[in-house]
Amino acid sequence: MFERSRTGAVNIISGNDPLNLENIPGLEKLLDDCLVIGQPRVVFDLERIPLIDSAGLELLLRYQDLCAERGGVIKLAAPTPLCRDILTVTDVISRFDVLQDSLSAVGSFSR
Amino acid sequence: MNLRSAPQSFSRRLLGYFLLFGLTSIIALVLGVISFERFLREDCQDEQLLGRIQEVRGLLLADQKQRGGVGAQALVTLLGSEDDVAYAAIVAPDGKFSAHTKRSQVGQPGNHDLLQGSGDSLIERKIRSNDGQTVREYWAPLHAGGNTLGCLQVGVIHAGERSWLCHMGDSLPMACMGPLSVLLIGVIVLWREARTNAVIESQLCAVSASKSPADFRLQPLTSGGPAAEGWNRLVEQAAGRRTASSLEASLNRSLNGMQERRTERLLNALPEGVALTDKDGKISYANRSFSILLQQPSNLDLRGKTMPELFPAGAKLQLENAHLTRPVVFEVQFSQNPTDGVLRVGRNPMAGDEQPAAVQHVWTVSDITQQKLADEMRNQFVFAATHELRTPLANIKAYAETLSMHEITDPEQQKRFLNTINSEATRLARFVEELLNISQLEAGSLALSRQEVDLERLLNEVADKVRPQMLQKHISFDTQLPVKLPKLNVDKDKFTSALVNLLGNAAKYTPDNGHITFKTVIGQRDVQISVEDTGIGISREEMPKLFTKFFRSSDERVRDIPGSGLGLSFTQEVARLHGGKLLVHSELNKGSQFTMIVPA
Repeated sequence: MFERSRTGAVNIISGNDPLNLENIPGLEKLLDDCLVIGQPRVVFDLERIPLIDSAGLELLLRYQDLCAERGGVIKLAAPTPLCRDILTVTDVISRFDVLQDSLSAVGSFSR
Repeated sequence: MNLRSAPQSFSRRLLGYFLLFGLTSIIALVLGVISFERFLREDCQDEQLLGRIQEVRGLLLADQKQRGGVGAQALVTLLGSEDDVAYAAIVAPDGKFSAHTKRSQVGQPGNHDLLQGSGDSLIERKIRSNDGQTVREYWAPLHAGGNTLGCLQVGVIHAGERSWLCHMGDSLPMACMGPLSVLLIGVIVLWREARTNAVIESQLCAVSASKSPADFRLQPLTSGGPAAEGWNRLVEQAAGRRTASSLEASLNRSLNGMQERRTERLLNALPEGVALTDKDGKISYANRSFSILLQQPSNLDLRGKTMPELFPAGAKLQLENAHLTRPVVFEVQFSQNPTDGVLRVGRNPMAGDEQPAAVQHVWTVSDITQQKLADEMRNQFVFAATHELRTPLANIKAYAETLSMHEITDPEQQKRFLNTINSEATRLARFVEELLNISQLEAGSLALSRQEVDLERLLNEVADKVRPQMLQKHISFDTQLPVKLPKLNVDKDKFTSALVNLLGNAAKYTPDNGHITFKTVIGQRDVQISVEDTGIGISREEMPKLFTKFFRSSDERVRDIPGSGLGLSFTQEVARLHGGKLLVHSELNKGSQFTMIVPA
């Protein structure tokens, strides 16, 4: 299950399910909500996400582009070793700022 | 034929003039030749006729002298048979015809007006005959030996004079044929020579009449000749130049388009909003971020709109007070809550615009919401630190000084002072502890030390820690625990601190004689621990900032109670670290309910 919370003007998407095809529709809705008003600042908290498949990677890249179109950005926080490996092998990691935890990610928007 | 009319081409005018003057010359020549020929012929005939008249007069005088004038009639008839002689007669001195080519006229009275005089010279006069013809009449006096014998009267009608027009009609075609043929040949030759010029001229006229001469395509000539060849070369050059200029124009358009697209892409890629307003203050350009930052649809065309239409009301005053030619920077907040968005807006006059009335402005907008929140948090920290450090220290110092400088012998009073110092030191220690926890959170070094914990025992310990505060304020404290609670794998210290924070807040912000419920529900996958009070509650406006570090409510009832504004932030983070979350439901003046949900 995934959920969206807000810290200041930053949206934090967190969850404990795999980022795979099954969970894409729900995530799309959460991410779409982040794109409604203003420039989206999104932290994707991967701390408890056990796995990312190709659909999840595609979702991350697609929404990174959508955020960039509006002058915003998605940052990834605290990926598990497996998720980090997946992101690295696919080179998706080069498209994102990856921070060690969601707090740091939120704080990075203040700088 | 109006030869000067504008549409006539040069070649046609040339041919027209050629024909006009050629024909005029031919007609004049023909008429001149005919007139001269007639003059020569008439002159020659007159000479011959006059000679014949003189000859007949001599014969008449000789006949009169030798034969008494018996041969006069025969001589007159002979003269009358001459060409062009209409009649001949002799008028006797008595005025009657003594001889006449028409014998019936003999003895008839004639014209004797010219019988007077004694000269021998011929008298010529023109008379009109009865049939309307002009008759040239010659009178030759007949004198012999001083006697007047009469007068020889000869009427002449020239054949040429009678029908010279008929003669001219006969000879005119022949006379004109040659010059006309030459003229026709001249026209053909001239036409062939002028045709090239005519085509060139017609194209040049079309170029001059064309609205866009550059687009007019000149046609090459098919006929030969140096002029046509030269024209064709010019056409080729012009076509080549046009192709080159067309290519250049296409390249320029393409390059300009690329440049514009590149510039637009560049501006649209900026996270900052950029816009340009004209002298009327209307937007002539705005990039995508500008629309988004002003919370307008990204595809909305902002051109023609004014800035006050787009900015919140607070910005209008800033803009009205700023001089047009000076740069101005101000901040705009979309609502009272800064988390809804804070923008930093810059307005700079366009370089080169010196007249204030005609000034254009470049606008830049950037989102500083997070920076603003960070500033706010920093301010709150300074306030909290000042309050939470200074107050206990001041109390400790005051009581310590009292104890040391004054002789207080009453043990009870000493004990009370020492308890106060102890509680203030505890408060100070707690604040420092919270600061350390928060700094650990900030640094990301707040790690959990999980262990299997008996939840029931843990909850009872928590309840016991806050129960004295409840009793002190006469708050009824209701603990609702299920019959059987599971064991949880949590960080006992941090989990306990988080729950103590929730219960401590409930005790602090619930008035005397209030009610607090500490309730635990076991779900299928989680454990829900809630703290419900009948306290001050939290306003809807302050709810979003509730978990912000150092946040303290602006409610006076809250301000009066010491607090660092770190407890809820810490509790939320602990819940998150355990894979759970902290939910809040509150209503101002009615109470609050905090629920910590952690996986079972």
